[in-house]
Amino acid sequence: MELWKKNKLKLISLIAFNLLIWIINSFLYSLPVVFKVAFTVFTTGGFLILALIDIFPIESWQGKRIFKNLILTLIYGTIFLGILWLYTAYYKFPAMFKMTIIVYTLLTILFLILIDLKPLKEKTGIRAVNSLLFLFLIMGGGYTFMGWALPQFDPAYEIERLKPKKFFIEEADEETILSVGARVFKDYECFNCHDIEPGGIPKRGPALAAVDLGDRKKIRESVVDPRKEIAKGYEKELKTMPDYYETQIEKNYLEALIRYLENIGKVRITTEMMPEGWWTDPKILRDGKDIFEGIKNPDVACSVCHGKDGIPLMTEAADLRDVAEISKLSDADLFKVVSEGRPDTPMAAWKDYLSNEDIWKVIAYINMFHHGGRAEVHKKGEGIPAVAINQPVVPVIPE
Amino acid sequence: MEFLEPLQFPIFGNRTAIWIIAQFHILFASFILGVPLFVVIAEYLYIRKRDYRYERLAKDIARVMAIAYSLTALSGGVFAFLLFALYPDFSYHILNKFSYLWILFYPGLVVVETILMYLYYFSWEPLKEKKGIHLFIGILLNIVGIATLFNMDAIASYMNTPPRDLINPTLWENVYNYTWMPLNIHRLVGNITYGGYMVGMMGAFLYVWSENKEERVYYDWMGYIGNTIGVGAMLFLPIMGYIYAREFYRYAAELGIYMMSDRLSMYFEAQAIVVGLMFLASNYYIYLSMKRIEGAVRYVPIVRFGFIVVFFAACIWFIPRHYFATMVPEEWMYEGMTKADFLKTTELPSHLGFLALMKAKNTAAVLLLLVTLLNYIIYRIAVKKGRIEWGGIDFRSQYILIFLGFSDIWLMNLMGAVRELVRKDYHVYLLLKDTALEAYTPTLAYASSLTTAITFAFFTIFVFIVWLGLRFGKEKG
Repeated sequence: MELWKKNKLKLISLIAFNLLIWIINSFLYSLPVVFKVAFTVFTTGGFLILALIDIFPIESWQGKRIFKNLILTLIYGTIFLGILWLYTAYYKFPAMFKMTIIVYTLLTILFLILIDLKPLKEKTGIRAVNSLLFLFLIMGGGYTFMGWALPQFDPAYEIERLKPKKFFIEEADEETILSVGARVFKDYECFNCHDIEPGGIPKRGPALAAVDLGDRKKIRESVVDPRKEIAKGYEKELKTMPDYYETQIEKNYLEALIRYLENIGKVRITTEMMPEGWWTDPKILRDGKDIFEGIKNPDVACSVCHGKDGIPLMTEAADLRDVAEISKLSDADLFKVVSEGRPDTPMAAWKDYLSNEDIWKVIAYINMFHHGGRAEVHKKGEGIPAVAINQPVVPVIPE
Repeated sequence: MEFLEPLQFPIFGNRTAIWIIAQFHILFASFILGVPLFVVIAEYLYIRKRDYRYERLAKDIARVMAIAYSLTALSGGVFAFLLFALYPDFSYHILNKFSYLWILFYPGLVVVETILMYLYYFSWEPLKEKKGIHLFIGILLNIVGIATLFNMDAIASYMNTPPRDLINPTLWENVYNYTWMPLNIHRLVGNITYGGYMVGMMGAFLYVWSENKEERVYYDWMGYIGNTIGVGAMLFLPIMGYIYAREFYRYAAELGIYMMSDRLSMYFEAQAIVVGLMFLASNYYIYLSMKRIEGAVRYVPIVRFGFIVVFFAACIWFIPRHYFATMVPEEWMYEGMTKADFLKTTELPSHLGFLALMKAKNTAAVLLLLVTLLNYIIYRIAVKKGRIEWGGIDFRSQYILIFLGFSDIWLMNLMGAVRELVRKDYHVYLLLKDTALEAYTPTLAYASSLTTAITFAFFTIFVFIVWLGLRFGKEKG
């Protein structure tokens, strides 16, 4: 009765605190059940110990308790390890992660056994200096070892990417040439004066998709000697376009730019609409998958955050299986999200890493997630919802 | 603009040379920024409580601070010289963008800070009857110190997150970039932590060197105060770090991804281990401190239970998304097996993916903070009910204090490297490319070895300063 009287308030606080935790972590900051249970176990455990402190008083820090502690810690530790082993096996933890949890548990047991060792004898003089040097060796050695023991990468891969790439137009395929040309157009900020979209708005220079640019020779002339012939209606802008591009842009890149401009009116890679037939084209989808999973470019691996099976693996990453959200977006919206990113979220702007073609390819692949893994044409407001929140969707690319 | 060809630093190479000198400078600079905060608080406590220990503590630390000040200036000078010689294009860019800040504010602040620091130190005795004025000088010193920190943070943060979408940003727009304020706050709190642990470590060294009980009584208390301030400020660091990292994601998510999921991810795994160890060590120090309090033995079970929670939280904090140091595995990593088999053993499957998400990490951080706070509350309750036997602490605790100081310095070094490496091969992200061949991200093995070497070198100098200021100098005096 006395115990109840003493702890009534603590118990009520405990229950209220746990209720609060469950409410907050269910509605405001959602946590998986396992964490909510862990919180409850820890707070209840702490409460029980506090309540029982007076009933089972402890007399001394050392003495006979060391042996008793050792035995008790070993017994409890072994039971706990057994439970953990079963838990991690049941939930199919990969081997490395199972090892991590077991190692941390073993360290806990070891720490609890060693914690009540007899106080260390005080050291003076040279013995004190020696002990300090030994401590430094352990600390420095330990942290350096940790640095070496954790997984590493090979810097050679990045060094290779950092090397200035030599681009020879004779050796490159059509797709690469157009992609390099698009990059040159972007790098030299041609878009400041020239819109390339169909129906684009004329700026200080003509909208390029709306006018006849002529053949390759003519385009070259317009780029390197823009003042030779002025487009109709732009007479006032005679000196606006710089005339130094022939000396500024390396000849292979200049040629790629010209080929890109030559194709503007034909390929119709716009930022508004998925190119005709790409939603269900197996080759496009396979390319999209390679980009999505970081096979084509390790710097861009959408699956790291969005999950290979559509289950998000990063806080705030969009759930690509979510029909309600994804089907709200038009082709242009999807392009914008991948290209520009989503402000104030971890979604990056990938326009500097992916060409427009590649962005459409990856969108075509992403589209399969909210269509139950099937290749279908994306239409606003349509899709197949995933059955359960944790149900994976594995896109199946048609043959 | 034509630039001089950068000079090549012998043996180490340019990047490593700058890395070493920048770390040295920042360690001394943080010391002379973090410690004055501590000194002024100690002096204030003396004025309020009239407990002479606080006055002695403030004076002792100020003595070390005065010596460290010269080394800060020295390392800063060498840093600037090397920067101009090894990275002339970058130096020109920064001088150009931060002209007034660099030629006017920064030197001005340093001059004022120097005057205030020496005024504060040498007026201790003359103003001992006018403590209010002396304290005021100390507060001014700290204000100028913090302004200097914010000043240099502007450049450090600009390099990672320069203003976007502005054609000719003004000086203020360059200063007030995305990560300036988060970096200011993170560093300010970090410096208080650092100051606390440094004082704790000084106390530990002097405790070990002490030859009589009276000295041990005082240095035991000094170590305890240092640790309390250190761990108290450290409680706020995870949230400050979170805000700082979040700003990176808001600015350019690819920077955040490079930090957390790509080549710098294992640096953060190392951080998780060190932070876990630091929380464990701080709580263990509280536990050892309780042992010298009469009657505190009754709280043993609850504190032991707290240790289990610390290990649990540290484990959750550590668990990575995958056991490879890149976003997708490089080919050599799965030599002799298929990529799928490699991923099966090294990557968390979707249904366990939540363990690597922020909700799990935040939960772990909250648990660590709660346990530490609870242990401190229990300690205070024990103090109220019993009597502390100063100088009677387990000798082991002094090694724990040194370990905490060492870990804090090591971690500051490693995380400083992360802040520099995050922008990949850019001096200023997307504005000024680093065209040197050394612009790649080094492995964690390399970074940790260098970090240890720098920490050792700093420690050697630091121990010398403490010995010079508080042992040798004092005895001769």
